[in-house]
Amino acid sequence: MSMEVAKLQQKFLDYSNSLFQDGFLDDQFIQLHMLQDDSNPDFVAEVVTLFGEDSERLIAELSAALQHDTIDYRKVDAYVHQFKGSSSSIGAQRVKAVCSDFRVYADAKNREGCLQCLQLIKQEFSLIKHKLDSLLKLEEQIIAAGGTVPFMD
Amino acid sequence: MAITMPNVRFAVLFLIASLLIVLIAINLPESHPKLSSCDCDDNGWDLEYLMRFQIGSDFLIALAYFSIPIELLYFISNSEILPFWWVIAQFGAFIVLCGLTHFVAIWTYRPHTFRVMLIQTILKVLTALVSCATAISLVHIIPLLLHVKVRELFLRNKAEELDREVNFIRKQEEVERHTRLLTQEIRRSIDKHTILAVMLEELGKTFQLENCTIWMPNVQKSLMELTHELKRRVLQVPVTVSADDELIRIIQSSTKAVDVPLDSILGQASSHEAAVMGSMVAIRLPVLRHSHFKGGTPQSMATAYAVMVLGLRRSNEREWGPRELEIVETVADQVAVALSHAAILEESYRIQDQLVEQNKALQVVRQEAETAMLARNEFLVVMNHEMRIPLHSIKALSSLLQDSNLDSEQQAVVETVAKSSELLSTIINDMLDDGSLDLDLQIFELTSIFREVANFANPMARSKGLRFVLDLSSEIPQHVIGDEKRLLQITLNLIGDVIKSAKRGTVVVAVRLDTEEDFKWHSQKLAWRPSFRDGFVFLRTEIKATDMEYTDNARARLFQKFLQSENVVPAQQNTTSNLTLVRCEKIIQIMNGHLWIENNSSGFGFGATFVVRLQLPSPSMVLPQKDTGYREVLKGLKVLAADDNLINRTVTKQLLENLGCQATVVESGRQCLATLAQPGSMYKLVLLDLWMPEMDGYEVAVRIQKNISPERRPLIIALTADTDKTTQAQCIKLGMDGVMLKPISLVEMGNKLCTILQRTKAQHNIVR
Repeated sequence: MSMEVAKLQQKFLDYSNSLFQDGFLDDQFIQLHMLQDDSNPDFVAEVVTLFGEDSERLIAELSAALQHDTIDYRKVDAYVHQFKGSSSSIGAQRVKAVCSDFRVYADAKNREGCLQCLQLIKQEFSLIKHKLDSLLKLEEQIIAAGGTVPFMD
Repeated sequence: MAITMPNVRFAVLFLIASLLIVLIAINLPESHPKLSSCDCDDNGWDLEYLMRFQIGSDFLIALAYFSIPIELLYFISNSEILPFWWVIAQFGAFIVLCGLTHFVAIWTYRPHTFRVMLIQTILKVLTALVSCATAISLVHIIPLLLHVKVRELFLRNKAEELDREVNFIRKQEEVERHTRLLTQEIRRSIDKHTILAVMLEELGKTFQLENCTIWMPNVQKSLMELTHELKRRVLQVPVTVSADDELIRIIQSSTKAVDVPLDSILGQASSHEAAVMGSMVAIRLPVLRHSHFKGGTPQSMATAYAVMVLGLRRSNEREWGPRELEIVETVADQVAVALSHAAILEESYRIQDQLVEQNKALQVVRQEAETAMLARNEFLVVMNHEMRIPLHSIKALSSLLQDSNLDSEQQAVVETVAKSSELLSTIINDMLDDGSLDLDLQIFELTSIFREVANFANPMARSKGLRFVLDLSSEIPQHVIGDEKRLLQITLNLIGDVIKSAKRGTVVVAVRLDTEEDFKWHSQKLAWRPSFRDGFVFLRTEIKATDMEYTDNARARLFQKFLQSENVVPAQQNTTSNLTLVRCEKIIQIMNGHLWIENNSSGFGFGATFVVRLQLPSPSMVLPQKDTGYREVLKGLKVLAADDNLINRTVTKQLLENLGCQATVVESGRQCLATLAQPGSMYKLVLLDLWMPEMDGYEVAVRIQKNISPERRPLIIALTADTDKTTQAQCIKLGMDGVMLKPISLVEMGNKLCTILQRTKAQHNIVR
């Protein structure tokens, strides 16, 4: 039993380390974990789910907004700002970076740039969502196997 | 016909002759009865014969007389001017009448009627009248005619004179033209040699010279070397003439052309087999080495004169007349000017080339510097990023450890680890953010800082086999306001440097307060003067490595000597400059302090002293509690947070609840105001996201301050992701109590909230 737990824990550590190395996550993600305690054991999972839903909504809104012939860049900027805020709160570093670029293009009213960034955001978001889901699943597995989630480096 | 003497004589002779003839004719006797006045019977000559002669002559005279007016008319009609026409008319009438008289006289030699006699008489009378009139008017006319003649002579003289002058001017112009052409040719080039060559050529053409040579003075000015020649000769050895030669001297000192005798040295030297010269002339040419530009107007300093010798062909008729010499002199002047221009241009080109070279070199260096700069920046950013990740895990782990159950020893260890990571974090931040250095002023405990210093320094010293002694003066205040982290950083830095350089013995760190008296005594030697003010103290830390046993006496000796020692230099002059030292000095300077380094000659390495200014906390200020103490402060605190972002709201709520607060979150500014307006809501703190649609955090803050009275209103803290300093300044300006950057960690939020709460509490206390 403990072997399995240890293996799972190692797998978890490796995976999470790789996420940090590749810049997908930054230390804000760790902060979130620090907020999770016995009184609120599913905090991180909750936040991740919320982030997923909220982001999908924002992406849909952005796609709709960028499809018009005359783009309302202020609205686009507002959505991107929201997205940036939530990705920064969860520690999704790469998504945050794309949002920064997106804002620059929106300021410059650059249609091509905005469309490119939208594509990029979609890509990055789906990546991070997938990875976060995998990570959370590993956590669940560890806890189910009776172990504790090792603190990430 | 001019009125000349021979003509007059001739006329006079003619008159006399005709008179004689007439007299003779009168006195000759006649035989014809009709000619009663003539007593010519006695004469044996043939009267008929004489009569025929007379008739013939009369006829011819009449003819001649008639022809004259015809001639006159002819000439008058052909000429343009008709002076004295009335005189001519008179004369014409006279002549005509005379002619008629003579014509009629032809009939008087034969028996003639009374009519003929009458006609003849009338004619004679008329003739007499007219001739008298003519004679009278001639008296008037002849002077005039003479006068006209005189004027004619005068005018002719004048014309001759003008002719001469025109000739002269023409010759002048010729000279000028030559000169101009020559100048043009010469000025065309800016190269010295071309100029001289062209000049030689043109002069040769103008004067048809046999040869033309230029002699330049050599560097020592002792010889004149032949540098240019019109008809080049084959040279094995450069031809020279001594510069001391008298002729040369004369030429060089004269502004005009000087005649060169054929047998002089110069003359001999100027000619050769292919060019045998006729008469020669020489002129000086100023050779301008450089020009002085004094105050804008160029003054050319002719440092030497070259000599130009011109020789005509032997067969040439031309002579060195004044005109030719003039041309030569003018040309020489022009050439001098052209040469000076060429020299100046040459100089400027040279300088330009130099500058271009320099520029290129500078560009290269600049490029290198830029690349180095970029590389450094990139490196810093990367390193910074790389270092943050593990650093953060250290921080997180150690804070976690601190929270778990540890005994006091382990607690101390973990605390040190935590502090080290803090320090490291500060250093990393400083490294990247090289420019701006802001002090984080907070109240802290001095003694605990130095306790930590000892904790760090002891193991460091021991690892090198040195001992470490910390000597804290008793007058040091317990709490001060300053930048705790930075103070720790510089102290540890300097201690580390001293330890590194020390070879053996003890490293002593002595900390005391400096008073004004101390500095009065020291400041004679020092360039820096501290300004003493109420409420501030100057903390002096002296770090030294020594062999001596550290007793009271030793201490006195050690540190009194310090600032008197010759080896003390301000840190900038320290040759062992390293980055950390510079950094320390910067920090110390910002803390209104100063750093001195002593290069210990007795082989102990160096010592360092620094003084910083710290503010004393006023008695009413509340002292901060330890980090872990924030839970007590924040327990049960009612907090209202506003953020439009769902995830932010979730995270913030969790943060606050973990800190022990009672947190309520709302979606918008409007909701926030509404919640605050509800009666019975005793929110102590409002956290506002600055960027919200409809109503942003600024506006909410303003409204809160407007709606609620100062005693009852909650603290307003902005929570923003914007790192721009102006945003923070704006928040403070609008009356907010604090600004927090998000994302924010649990501990940071706890500390920040604590600090703000305590600060405002103290302020309120003071106000009351």
